Amino acid sequence: MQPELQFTIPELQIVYLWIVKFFLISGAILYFLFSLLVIRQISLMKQTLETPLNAPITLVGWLHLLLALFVLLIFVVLI
Amino acid sequence: MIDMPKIFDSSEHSKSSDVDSPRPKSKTEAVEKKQKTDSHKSDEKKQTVTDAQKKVSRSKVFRNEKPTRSVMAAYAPIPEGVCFSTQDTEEEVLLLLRQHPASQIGWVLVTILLIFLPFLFTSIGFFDFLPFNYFFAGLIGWYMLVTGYVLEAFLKWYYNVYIVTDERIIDIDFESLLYKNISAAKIDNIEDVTAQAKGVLSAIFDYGDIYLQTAAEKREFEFHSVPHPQQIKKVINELMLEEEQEKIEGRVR
Repeated sequence: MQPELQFTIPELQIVYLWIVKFFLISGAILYFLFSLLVIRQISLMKQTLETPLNAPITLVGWLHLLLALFVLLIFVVLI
Repeated sequence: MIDMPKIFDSSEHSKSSDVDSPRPKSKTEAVEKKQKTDSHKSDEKKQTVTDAQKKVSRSKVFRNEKPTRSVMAAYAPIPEGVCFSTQDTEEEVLLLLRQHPASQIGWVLVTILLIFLPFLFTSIGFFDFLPFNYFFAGLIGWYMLVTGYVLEAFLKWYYNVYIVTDERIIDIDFESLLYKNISAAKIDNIEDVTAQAKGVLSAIFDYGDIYLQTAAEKREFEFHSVPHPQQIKKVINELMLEEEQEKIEGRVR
């Protein structure tokens, strides 16, 4: 028995995949912008409160940004 | 009552119930070491640091405490390497407070739920209509969102702090991504301190809220879900008395 949500017309299948692709890539772009904001936020927090953990937190922020960029590229290439 | 893990709690009071016991050697050594380090600084600064240290040594609460080295402490008396943007050169941080880790249980549970949610949906075949590469991309995107959520929640917990210095009480709030609010009140403006513990978790883990009534522009300060509220109340009361003593002796800065 076939699942209910099965697209049999190839054109329709292409359309829904394009919609999913559009949402995934625009979501990844938004997430990349969010990770840029996180970098700005960490810098603001560092200026306000100096603690010994500031350097590792900055590193995490930059790794997060790189990860977001990597995911955006994966989405463009993979789907 | 359950004590916090050492990583979050640097207080020594739980180990020693007698706060009136003589000052330990280590404290004296720490004070001496700090004096040696600061020897190259100006005479004026030296005098001020000594004033702050005098306050520490006179305090029944602080004289049993060692300087805090733990970077994740929610209750950090005399924290090392901590300063804030509006700090005066003569001002010394005596107590750094964050919300008790037990009060953060909400976002930790939500994170665990979010981690396992895709497995639940996959097990009922919710994503069967998607080709594998789309499903995989969606999964990566989902876990990125979870990472962002955890990072934001941690940053909010770590940088939303309450600071007690030898002169002021400071409340640093980061309410949203790019909004910060720093409120401060001089200790001699504080009129009333109330400590309140509500709920089962508060009673088990010894955390609660502190309410400070001030004569300053901001009338009320609230320290939410901070560890050892009674201890903090005692510290603030001691500092208030100390400020009054300074006023009487004409040593007000």
